[in-house]
Amino acid sequence: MTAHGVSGSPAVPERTVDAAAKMNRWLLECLDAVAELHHSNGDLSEQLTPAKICEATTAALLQFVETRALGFWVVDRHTHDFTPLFLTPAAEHELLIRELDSHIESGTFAWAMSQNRPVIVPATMLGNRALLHVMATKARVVGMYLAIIGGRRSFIPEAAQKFTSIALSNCASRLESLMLYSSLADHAKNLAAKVAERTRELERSEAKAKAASRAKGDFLASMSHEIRTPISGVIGMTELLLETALSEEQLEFARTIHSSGEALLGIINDILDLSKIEAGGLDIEAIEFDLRTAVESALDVVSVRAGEKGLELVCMVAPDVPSRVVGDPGRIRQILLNMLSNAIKFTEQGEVVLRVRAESDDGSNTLVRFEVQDTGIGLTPAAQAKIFQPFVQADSSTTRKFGGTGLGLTICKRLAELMGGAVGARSAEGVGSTFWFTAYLEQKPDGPEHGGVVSVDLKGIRVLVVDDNATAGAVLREQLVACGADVDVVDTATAAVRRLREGQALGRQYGVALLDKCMPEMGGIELAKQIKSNPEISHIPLILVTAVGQRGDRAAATEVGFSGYLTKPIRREQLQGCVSRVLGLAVDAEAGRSSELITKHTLADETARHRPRVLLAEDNPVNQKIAVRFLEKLGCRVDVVDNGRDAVEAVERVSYAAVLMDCSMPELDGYEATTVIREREGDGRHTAIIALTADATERSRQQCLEVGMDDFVTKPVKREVLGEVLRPWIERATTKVESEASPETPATDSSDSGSAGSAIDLEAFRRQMEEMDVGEMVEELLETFAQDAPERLAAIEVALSDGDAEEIRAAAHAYKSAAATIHAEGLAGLLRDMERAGRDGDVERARQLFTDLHSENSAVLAQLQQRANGG
Amino acid sequence: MASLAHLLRDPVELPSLPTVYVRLLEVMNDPYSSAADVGAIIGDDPSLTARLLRLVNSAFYGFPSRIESVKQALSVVGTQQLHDLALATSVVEMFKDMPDELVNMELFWHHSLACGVCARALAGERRESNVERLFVAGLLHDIGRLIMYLRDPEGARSALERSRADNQLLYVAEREVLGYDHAVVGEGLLRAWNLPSSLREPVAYHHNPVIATRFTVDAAIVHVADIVAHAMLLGNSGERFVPPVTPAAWDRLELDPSVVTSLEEDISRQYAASVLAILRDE
Amino acid sequence: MGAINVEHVREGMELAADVTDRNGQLLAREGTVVSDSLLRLFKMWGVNTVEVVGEEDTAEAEGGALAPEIRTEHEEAARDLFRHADLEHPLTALLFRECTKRIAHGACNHG
Repeated sequence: MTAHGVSGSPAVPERTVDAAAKMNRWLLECLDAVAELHHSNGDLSEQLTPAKICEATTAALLQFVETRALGFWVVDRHTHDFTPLFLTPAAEHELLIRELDSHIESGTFAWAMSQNRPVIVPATMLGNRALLHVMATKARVVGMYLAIIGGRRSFIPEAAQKFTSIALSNCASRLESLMLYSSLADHAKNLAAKVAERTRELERSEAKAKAASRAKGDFLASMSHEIRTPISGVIGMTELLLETALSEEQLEFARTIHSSGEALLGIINDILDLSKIEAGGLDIEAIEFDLRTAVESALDVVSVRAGEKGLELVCMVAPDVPSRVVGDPGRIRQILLNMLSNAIKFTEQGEVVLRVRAESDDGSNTLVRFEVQDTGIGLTPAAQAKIFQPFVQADSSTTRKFGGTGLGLTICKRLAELMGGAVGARSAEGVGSTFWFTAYLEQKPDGPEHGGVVSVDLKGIRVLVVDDNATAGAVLREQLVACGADVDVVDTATAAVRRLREGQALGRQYGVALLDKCMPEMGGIELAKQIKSNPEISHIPLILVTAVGQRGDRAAATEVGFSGYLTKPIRREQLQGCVSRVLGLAVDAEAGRSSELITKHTLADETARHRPRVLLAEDNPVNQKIAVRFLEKLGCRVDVVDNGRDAVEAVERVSYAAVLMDCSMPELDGYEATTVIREREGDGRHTAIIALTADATERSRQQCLEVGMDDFVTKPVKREVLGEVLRPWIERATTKVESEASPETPATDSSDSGSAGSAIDLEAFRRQMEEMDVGEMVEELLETFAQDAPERLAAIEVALSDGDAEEIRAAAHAYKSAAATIHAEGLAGLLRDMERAGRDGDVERARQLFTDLHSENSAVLAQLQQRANGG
Repeated sequence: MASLAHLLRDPVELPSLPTVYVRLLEVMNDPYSSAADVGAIIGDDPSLTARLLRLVNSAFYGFPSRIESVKQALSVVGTQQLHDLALATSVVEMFKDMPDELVNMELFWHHSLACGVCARALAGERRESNVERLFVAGLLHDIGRLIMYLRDPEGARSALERSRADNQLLYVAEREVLGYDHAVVGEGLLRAWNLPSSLREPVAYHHNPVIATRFTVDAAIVHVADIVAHAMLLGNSGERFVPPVTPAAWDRLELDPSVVTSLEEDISRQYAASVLAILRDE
Repeated sequence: MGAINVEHVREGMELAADVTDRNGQLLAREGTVVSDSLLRLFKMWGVNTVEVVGEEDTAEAEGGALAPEIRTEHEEAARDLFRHADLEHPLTALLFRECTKRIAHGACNHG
């Protein structure tokens, strides 16, 4: 029994010291062992196994606790059973297993699991003790440690016990780490395998996607026909609908459907084009064509719109650009149209200039550069960057403001690339933009010049160009210089007059002057008046240069005394032709109303031949013309009067083989005239009178017969019918009827079908004329119509202001048939309505109709104007 | 009302640990002593021996076989652990027969035992090496109150009345009325008893565990154990309300709340056994 | 079916419920027929009671569910005790529930 628990009495200090020293060493060893344990934790090399970890722990444990046998059991994650991992020495395996089992049975095993310290109990083998210690981490039980220790020592020192706890806790952590680590390695391997598999999958799906995209492209390309057909059907049907009798409202709706249909077709075409290109299905043609013609035809299409907006449309083709090339004119035209349309769309004032030049030339191929420059709203730098990407507009507001799919420029890009070129844009916001594209074209210098007119030689001729727009002036100059002319350009009327007088005075006269109609201070017409009133220079031939879409120009031009008339954009041949003709032909200033302007469409002279003489009484000039043509084809000579009174007088003077009498004419209509003629005839010579009437009813027939007409022909007149009806009367006359002349096939002007403006169905008109075998009369008739139209409209206006219903009716009626003849359907319809209103006495309604009538009339005239001077 | 200093000043006035335990403590603190020495001291005190054996053979300890001797107890339970249990039983012995005026002693020890058992269970869940020490810390966490009742009944009563009047936590009322609380007093007592800081810190900071310096985990354990004991309605040491948990302390334990539910059965069983073994000598 | 002490479990008995260890690890599923190795497993993991088909219930059973009205009353009492605690805290919430149960149980026992 001790008082203070200090072992040993004061009489044995050495033993105490020894014991103390031993204890100290022992503790230091303990600490070293702990440090060592800690150090080996970092070892996670490939060769590390759970058994190796247990081995290391064993070595540490054996330092401090005398152990006979020991074993490590670990928990199986799935079965939760404890399986032996490391047992030593080998000879004691069975012993250890049996020992553990006994403690499991007794419950000591389970109890030890809940402790975190060595549990020392008697072993089954007498004289021994068992030490059980759980191996656990904070998270879970990893295993169990069993050691069979000798019974010699009574107690294991606290420090040793503590060390055991530390070592086994450490062991548990390491086993857990190793397991997690190898599990991690497995996962990593697994992951690598998964990534490889996933990559293969992606490659497969990418291939699939590519195939799908190709298939889509193929599908779209082959479906293009299927898609376009119904749309074309809608458009076509709508056009037919527009030809029928429609109310104002219906007309408006039908027009809307038509333009929507065309817009839709445009979009579909764009999309199909793009997908075709993307699917690699678009082929670029390689045909011979004239580059200038292709360029000029693109200009034609957009010139109306440019004129309407008051924009100058200028074209400059450099002389070094080959005329004859091999390429795809359609695609070049497509790109040009797109860029020109855009330029016009986004420009409110100023000009749109198309420049074509040869950027490089290797002898057999030329890189041709096309630039469209405008003074429009421009693009921001951001917009410039992406403008050629699909579905991109400059900004979203432009879509709303200006419309469009955003595909146009993308298609241009692709097309240009397919043609071996590129596209690009330069712009300054608020100043303007330049869109360009290049195409690689093969030269074909040996081919014949296409386009009709051979280059004219204007050598020695001095030309004065008067235009306020520098670019336009420069273009004209270039074109004329190319023909050898000596050109001066001035930009005001005052300067022009001065120059002309100077030239006259100095003996270096100007052979011709080209005057732009629209100039700020004084326009071309005013200037012409001035020139003509100045005896010094009044003899100089003048050509009026005007933009498209300005009606009444012709009449004004003729009145003032212009010898020639050109509309912008001016084609080179046009310019050359007009100038040369103007110089070759003198102007008949006194011919009056019927003097002809030299335009492209000059009437062919006809030599009169000995033929039966027929009188035509028809007030409508168009119808007059048609009838005259028919009669001439039938071999007759025709005299024309336009009212009943003149008809009566003519019949008095001349013996006609037959008289074609229109039933409704001013002053004296057909019926009345016939009555008078018959009266005056008495029993004398009976002149055959054939009625021309639009009214095919029985009642009118009767009326004709009553007044003494011999036969009648309904309008629109068919040549064969006229021939049939006239033949007996003509044959009765001495001259023979000419057999049918060979039908002339008029040159089809492609601009008929592509014209802007559908006020006149030119196709239908041409067709009809051809059917009647007077196809060549189309131009003439249109011209006549255009000439008369202002008067006709004025007549209606007067009638409306008078409020005279009958006057209204008559005026509308007169104009209506002319309009109908040239297939100006809209106009004819409106006139029909007005005629009806007049007949019904509804002046108010007639007045309401006039607005529409006026605008439709303008549209018709615009179409005519543009067409006449462009083709 | 006594000041803290006054309360703890006179060691003679303070109850002292039984001699046997003092000796035990000396032996434990002596690096050259052995378990045999410890066993000898315990063995010399039959009542201590009896109490200890009763305790380790009860459901409190749950060892599957019967522990027959101190020597065996030392082996199975462990020297340090047995020593801690000896302290526990000794302290309870000391205060068992205190007057019941201000506090019901039985209820007080019930709560203290409950806290001790909870602390031990939580420590076991965390795989702490010496769970018995936590048992002792939990058992002694409110001992400061006993000293206050003994040495300054006036002050203690005022605090109690204030806590009831304001529906306030008692330890808050203590601070308000007296300027100190029972935790501080308890720490002072353990210091006077020369008990190590591993016991003192948890007791001192059981209401404010985050300011513990060395034994932060143990302080957190006792803090939570106190709350659980309150929630389980096991005894009462004067505090009516369940003290609020300090989230940082709970987080430090890294335990899931469901652990408390799973331990509940064990806690109940061990609590009941400890009451029988320690309080009632059964 | 009943819960019996693992010591009385014999080979061939059928488990009437899942068996888990103290930490909730699943050791055997309901319906498993007890084998020697399974018994060993139970002993290793310190499983004390097991529910088997057919046996009388000798282990302690838990109290039945409480009627809602009573629970509210006890909740009130518990709420009073917990008035200084933050019921949002996961631990506190759990303790609150347990406390309510205990109050009810106590009331039943005294009742």
